[in-house]
Amino acid sequence: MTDFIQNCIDGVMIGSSYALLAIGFTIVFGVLRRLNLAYGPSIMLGAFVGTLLYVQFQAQILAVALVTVIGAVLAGMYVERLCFWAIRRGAALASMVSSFAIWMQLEEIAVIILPERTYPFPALTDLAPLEIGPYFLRSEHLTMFVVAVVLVIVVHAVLYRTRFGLAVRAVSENPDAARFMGINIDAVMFWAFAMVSAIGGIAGFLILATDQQVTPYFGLWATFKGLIAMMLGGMGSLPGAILGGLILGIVETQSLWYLGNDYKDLSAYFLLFLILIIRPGGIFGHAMSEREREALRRV
Amino acid sequence: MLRVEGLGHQFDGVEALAELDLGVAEHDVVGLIGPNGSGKTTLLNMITGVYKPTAGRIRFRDRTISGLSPHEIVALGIARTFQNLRIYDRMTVSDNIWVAQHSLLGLGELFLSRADHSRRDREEVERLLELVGLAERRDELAQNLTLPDQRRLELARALVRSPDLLLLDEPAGGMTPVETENMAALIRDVALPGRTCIIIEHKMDFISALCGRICVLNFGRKIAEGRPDEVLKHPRVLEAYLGMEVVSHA
Amino acid sequence: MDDYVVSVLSNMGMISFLALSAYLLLLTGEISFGQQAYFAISAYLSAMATAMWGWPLWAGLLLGAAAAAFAASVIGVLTLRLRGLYFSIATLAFAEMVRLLFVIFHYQIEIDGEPVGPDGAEGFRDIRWVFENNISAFEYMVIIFLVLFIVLVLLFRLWRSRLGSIFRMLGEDTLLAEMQGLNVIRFKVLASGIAGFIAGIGGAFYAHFATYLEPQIFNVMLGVHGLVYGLIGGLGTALGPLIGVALDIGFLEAIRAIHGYRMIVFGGLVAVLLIFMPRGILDEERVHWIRMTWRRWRNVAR
Repeated sequence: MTDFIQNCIDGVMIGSSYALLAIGFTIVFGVLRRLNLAYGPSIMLGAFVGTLLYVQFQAQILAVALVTVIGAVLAGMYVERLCFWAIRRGAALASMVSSFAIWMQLEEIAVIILPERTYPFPALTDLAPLEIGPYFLRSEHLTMFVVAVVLVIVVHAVLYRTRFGLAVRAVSENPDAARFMGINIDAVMFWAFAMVSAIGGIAGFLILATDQQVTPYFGLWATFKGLIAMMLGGMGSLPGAILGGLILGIVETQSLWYLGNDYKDLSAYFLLFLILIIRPGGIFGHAMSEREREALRRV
Repeated sequence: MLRVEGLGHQFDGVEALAELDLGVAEHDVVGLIGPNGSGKTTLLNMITGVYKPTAGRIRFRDRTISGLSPHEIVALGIARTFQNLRIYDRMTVSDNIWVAQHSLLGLGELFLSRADHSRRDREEVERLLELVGLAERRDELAQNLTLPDQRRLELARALVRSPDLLLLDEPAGGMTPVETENMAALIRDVALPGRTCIIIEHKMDFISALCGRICVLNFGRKIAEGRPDEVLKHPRVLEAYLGMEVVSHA
Repeated sequence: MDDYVVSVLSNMGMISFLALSAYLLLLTGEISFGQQAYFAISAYLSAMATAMWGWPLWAGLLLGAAAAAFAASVIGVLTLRLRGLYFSIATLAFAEMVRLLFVIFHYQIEIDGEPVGPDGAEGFRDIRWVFENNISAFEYMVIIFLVLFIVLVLLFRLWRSRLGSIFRMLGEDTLLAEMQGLNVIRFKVLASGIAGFIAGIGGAFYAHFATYLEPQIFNVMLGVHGLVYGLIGGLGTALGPLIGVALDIGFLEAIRAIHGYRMIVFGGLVAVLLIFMPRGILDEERVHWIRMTWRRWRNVAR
């Protein structure tokens, strides 16, 4: 039982960063109705630039964090302009495939910047783990969790208390109506993307600083984690992204403990597959039948 | 032929239709009018199985069809057109009609159809194209046609395999008065003979010219039914459309 | 012919099966990120048949492709009732599950004192049927292209057939197709099964070409490439995916100057191309135009 609870604690801690990644996906989906498959890789690019600074110039951790975030944001803007803004409204497939293509591009760029298989990344914190009764709480995990919580609060505040957030929500609800009300859709999408990339950059930084290493697989990995967490909670739902991230974290730690490393990722994908078959909308998703919603939209 | 009994449909807390009763006899031509959002298209959607009723039922030829899926209902001889025009944009005009013929074949027939079936199908496509006046545009991509021509294409497609019940949703939508008149003539000459029809439209002349009976909906409920000249003078109908109380000068 | 050229061409041939597989599903309006799973299933199964049970290549290939088709149909039944994006992610999840299952899949038997068979992450070595039967690299390439040609001809016939036009109807407007009386799920599952079979053919060829398999090969990137080739080549014809393949593996690979930057160039090319041609180079409109122009030219020539 102790193990189970310990795993839950660890799972929630790690899951908080998954939640951040999921938030990124879910906001982009909410605003654009499309998936940005270059999300993970653009975060990775930022992280790689940060790593370069760390490895070549022995930069301080805060500088690395800053560079990571800025790098992720710049990469995100590049993706947004090329794949989403430039491709006209109806061609959703083209946008997603375009973001795939840029994913390939960004991965290769990253590998060119840092050709080795793995690089060190600055540690998040040097503190010893906390002990609460029989449970351990790694200080990196705690830091990650606290930052994630703060970030979620900030995002929530932005979305629900600022005019920008209002615009974002309006565009998510009904882009045409928003346009008629004078909202500049392109600008909203651009800045939403920037915000989402910044969140992703922070999430990526937290994860890599906890692991203290970075590999070229990180881009793909981050994309998957964010995607799975988002789907678990429901596409387009903010609380869903958070819950999905936490659940994913817990499922991972439990399956790692009880089933071993080989089954860790397998469990996550299996869970995702199961959710999609049984309740595709995710936990906070819609229960309405697919045909009805489709018909609602167009007939 | 068609009986709608106590039909209701609710989603997200909005009552799109409520307590709707409607009877359509063989060879009737019934018009369906009402302000936007009154539930006209919803009714067609329910007849064709896109939505399932939350109350009541629909019977077609003494058979309850309100639980069936669209492809089962179409097989019974019901066809429709759409308010915002649905055609296969990137297929040619003749292909748009040709593919409608496949829909009614079973899987076995798809693989084993013989050459003379194909020829017979092609002949029907030609016939329908001639009927609606699109024979010369047969090889153009559907998306390149003008709106009236696209609506004719939709009509021709709906007529494939001679359905017994035809549901037309704003067949003259977006057309100029002249185009509307032409469409009315076309429907009267080509679609109506020997067939039962429900037509949704906003254009009163169009409806009056074609329909023997009109049913008026407002907020999902039937507020009037009868001959065109009666219904269009009905105070509740005027109120619904004009939004103000009408004092009846009886 | 130069060994390197034969190798590149063989690669193009095998990947074309994967691209055609994704393309067939794209025709019906479904975006699958997971066709590599069927590629993998057939690769492993056909290799097991030839390397472990002594089957000839053609039998192993049929077994693998059939198994892939079966798996695709089952997964199709489960997932094709999901709306677009959900379906796509479900295919992604399934493909990754398959890959990870192969990581824990160990099944070896002893042949001549040596263990032969899939060994999880260590891979599956010595799939040597092609060598043991003295088929040269060139001859193998010819076989691949012969089969590819047959598949292409069948796909062209499918396009003009009733079944093919039903697939296209589903891709154009699924709701309309359903409202016209088509049982959408049944046909999409059929398309999925056929697509699985085609991917399976490619997988079997791959296993015997590379003589070595490991789960890592059948990752998301492989599937995504297949999808991208179809989309940039054009959705208007079965030649589309082949054009995409030729563009990446043929053309770009040939430019030595960009070796090491190929992904960057290809990625950028795809992104830019999709801005101007969101349905690919040979999309339906262009193909229609070509067909009409050809017909007019022929009529003039008479």
